[in-house]
Amino acid sequence: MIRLGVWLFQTLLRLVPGDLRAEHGAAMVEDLTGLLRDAGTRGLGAVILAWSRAVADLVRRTTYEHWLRRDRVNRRENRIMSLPHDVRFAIRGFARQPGSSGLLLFTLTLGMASAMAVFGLINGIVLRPLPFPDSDRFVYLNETAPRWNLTYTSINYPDFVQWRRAVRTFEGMALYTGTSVNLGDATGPERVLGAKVTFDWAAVLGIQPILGRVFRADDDRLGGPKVVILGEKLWRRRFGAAMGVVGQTVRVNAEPYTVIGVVPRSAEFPAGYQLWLPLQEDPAQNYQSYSYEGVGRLKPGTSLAAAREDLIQAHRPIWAASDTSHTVSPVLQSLRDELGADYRTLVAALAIGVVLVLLCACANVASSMFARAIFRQRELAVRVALGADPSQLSRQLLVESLVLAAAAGLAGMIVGSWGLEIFAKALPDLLPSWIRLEPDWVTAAAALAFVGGTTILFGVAPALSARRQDAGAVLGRPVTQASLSAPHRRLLNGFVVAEVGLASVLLVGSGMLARAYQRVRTIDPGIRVENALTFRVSLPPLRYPDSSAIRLFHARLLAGLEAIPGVDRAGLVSCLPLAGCHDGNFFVADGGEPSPPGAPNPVILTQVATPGYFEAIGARLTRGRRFGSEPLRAVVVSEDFARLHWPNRDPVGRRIRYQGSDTTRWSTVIGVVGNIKHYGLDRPTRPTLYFNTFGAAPLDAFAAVVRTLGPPSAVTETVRRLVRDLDPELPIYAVATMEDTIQKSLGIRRVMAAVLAFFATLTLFLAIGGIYAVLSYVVGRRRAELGVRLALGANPGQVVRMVMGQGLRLVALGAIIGFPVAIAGAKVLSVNVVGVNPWDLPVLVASATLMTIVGVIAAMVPGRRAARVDPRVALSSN
Amino acid sequence: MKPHWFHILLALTDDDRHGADIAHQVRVASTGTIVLWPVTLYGSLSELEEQGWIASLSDQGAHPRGQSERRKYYRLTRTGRQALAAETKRLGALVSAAERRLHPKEAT
Repeated sequence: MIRLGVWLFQTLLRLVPGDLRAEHGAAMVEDLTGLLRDAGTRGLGAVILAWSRAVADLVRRTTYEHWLRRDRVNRRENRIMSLPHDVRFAIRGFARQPGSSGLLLFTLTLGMASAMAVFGLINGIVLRPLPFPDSDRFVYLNETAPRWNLTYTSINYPDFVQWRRAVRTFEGMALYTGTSVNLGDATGPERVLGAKVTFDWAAVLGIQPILGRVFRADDDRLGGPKVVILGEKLWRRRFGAAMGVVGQTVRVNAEPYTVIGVVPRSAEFPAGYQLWLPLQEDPAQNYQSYSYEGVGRLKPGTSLAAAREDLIQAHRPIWAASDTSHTVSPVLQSLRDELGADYRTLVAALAIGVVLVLLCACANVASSMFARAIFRQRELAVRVALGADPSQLSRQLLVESLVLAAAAGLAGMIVGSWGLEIFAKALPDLLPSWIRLEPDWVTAAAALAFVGGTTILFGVAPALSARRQDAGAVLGRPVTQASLSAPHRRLLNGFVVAEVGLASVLLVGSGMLARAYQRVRTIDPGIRVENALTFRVSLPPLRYPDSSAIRLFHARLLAGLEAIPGVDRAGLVSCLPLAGCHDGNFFVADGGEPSPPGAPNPVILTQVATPGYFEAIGARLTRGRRFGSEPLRAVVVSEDFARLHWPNRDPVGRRIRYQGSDTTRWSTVIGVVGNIKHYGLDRPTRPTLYFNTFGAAPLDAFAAVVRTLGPPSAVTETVRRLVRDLDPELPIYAVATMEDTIQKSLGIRRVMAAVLAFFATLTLFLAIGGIYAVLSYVVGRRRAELGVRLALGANPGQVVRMVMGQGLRLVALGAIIGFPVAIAGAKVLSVNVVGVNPWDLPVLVASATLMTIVGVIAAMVPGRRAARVDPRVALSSN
Repeated sequence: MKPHWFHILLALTDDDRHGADIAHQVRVASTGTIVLWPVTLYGSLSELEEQGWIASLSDQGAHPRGQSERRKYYRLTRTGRQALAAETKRLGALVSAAERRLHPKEAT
């Protein structure tokens, strides 16, 4: 501690004027060490106090010492140009040309703001710790079954019980599953997103209750007590943050539950849960239900690989006992990676995009700074001739760049965090609920790095050019020719080519993403998207105890819905397309071979639907018929299902039943419907089977689809009122049009395409500015030459063509570099983003055309100015 | 005269001392009200030396009583002693003037 203090003090001593430090620095350090040691005998607080006083004294006295020496500094100004001096000089320089300086600052701020906004997003999704202690030790648990064509099967409870007993590298593991519950009390029904969790969930996540207690092992057993834990948000909103809430009774799914505790917001993870119930699962269940997700906390210092190995070892007895062909195996990965998985492509694309924007801004500013440096050649040459050291001049120029970058960095940080805030507010569903986007020290460090990096990128070239001053050569030339030497021109052109190249990469890339979005948007979802309203209802078992009560409700609801004017058809289904649910099962066909162990056995999406569902959702019937008043055990299958079991044969009339249970009755296929993109437009479908509601377990939680004649929003209120009339305690939730659901499912893609398009526009403007600036500059420099040409009879049109040709050459060069890079990038992108085609000709042609137009626009004004040069003025201005 | 100059000069009246010793003496003599932290201490010592009121002994090659050679010892110069005496006198006059105003009866 004392050594650290001394070291810091020593570092700070550099602030002290050199002569004083040279004479007494060692003694100061020695004395401070003694003082701190003395203080050390009185405890740490005394050390810190003494140290702070010494440092305060250092700062105060140093200012005074510098002030004492102010005259000496001025006397030696030819030798020493202090940093504050350089900074002041730079600011004065910028202030002298407010227009062009403002433009530079604006350009760089745009780049910085984009970079800071994207970095804030990356920080929130990838870098920042999750909102609980030691979050880097958390892992996500699930099970995988490639043979069932499932990446994640969810976790089987007996498997979990076995893991929990046998693992050695875990401090704890817990299961959770989202569940949506009807919360009812005096203020009316409400749908609340909750979770069922194993009792150790709070201990694993390190959650301390605000009030009451968390679950105990005793709560989490089959037939255990009806207890509930509330989230802070729900507690504040619905219970007015009452301290007496613990012990109260609330109605959960129409049953009385006792509130035992309240937990803070950090517990809402990962999906914004507001209420928790004990899982109360049966460890001896023998049916193969895979329903839960898991989270585990590793012991300190455990690697993911070691934990994975441990988990496999723990799972081995299950393989030995019941799963000898190793169909299902446990999977584990870092919780952070799992949660951020959906955003990986978005984050990577935005990061690359923003780097290109920042580079382009740097190239733009660099060319301006460089042109400035050339303009100032005479000034610099005069100063060198009067005895200035060229290295000081280049330092001066570098400081100018640094000042500019720092100002832009500051502005960019503010604008960037605004931008990110607006972005996050505009898209509340896009980002996960646990994300925090406030700036922290990581973003501050990143801002510093951006400032440093950009300074180097755009400040070094002008600074180096100042070092190579040949005062005689510069001063010997007439002003107008004050040199645009070949290397200088090449450098300037290089900047423009770089800008054009970067802009074309972004243009092509964002064009391809936009096209990919458009392509996915036009993928046939297998349903009629427009004029469909959907909502969900869950019937509490207490009030709807048996299938007849449930069926009665179904019948009354459907009749009521179809009686609403403007409603064409209504149907119910267990799981709506794109709703994120999946209920999987396995079936065998009558006469089909049972699949041998080890062979692929793809899981079947198993739905339960009412007769009207297919018409209401707009599924296409390709064979047979829909449900009607037929025998109870009838099923409708998807084309994929039919192809799987009866390739090239008519499936209608054939029979299927559950796999592995020879006692269940056969069901008969009565019709085939087209495949529905259940998991997303850009995801593959699974073979699907639809049970008639009469042939399956009663549908107590379901989604309703209402096919309307006009806009669905017109009937929303009527539908709500209908359900309220049927059962006032029943909330309807997830009310949405199919159109919105599809839009939402493509949210990340849309944002990615839109933000990159914005970046592309930005760089295009930068490129236009760059081309324009360089051409104007060149034309200005060549006025005399152009004047001679015109005086000797050159056609003004020729002059315009010459300048524009020069501009277009730069554009062509940039594009030649940019397009292959863009195509290569699109190839990488096409792996992760369905719909991207690297050789998308329309996009390439459109981009090339746009780049040409940009070149023409940017070159037009300087070209016309060149043609209007008055030979007399141009030649006499020397 | 600045208070800490006065105290430094005062600390050197009876003996030659090095920096840390001076700081210690000042602290004790002022019963802890004046603490000279390192940078102020050595900055002031430099100033006083420039004024010619103290002299560092290492410049004269003499170290008292075989003490550490690394430390620089300071001695009060004659001008320094005169300055201190003058300042003491001035402060004394100031104090008695103030006393007369504050407690007129006792003073007369």
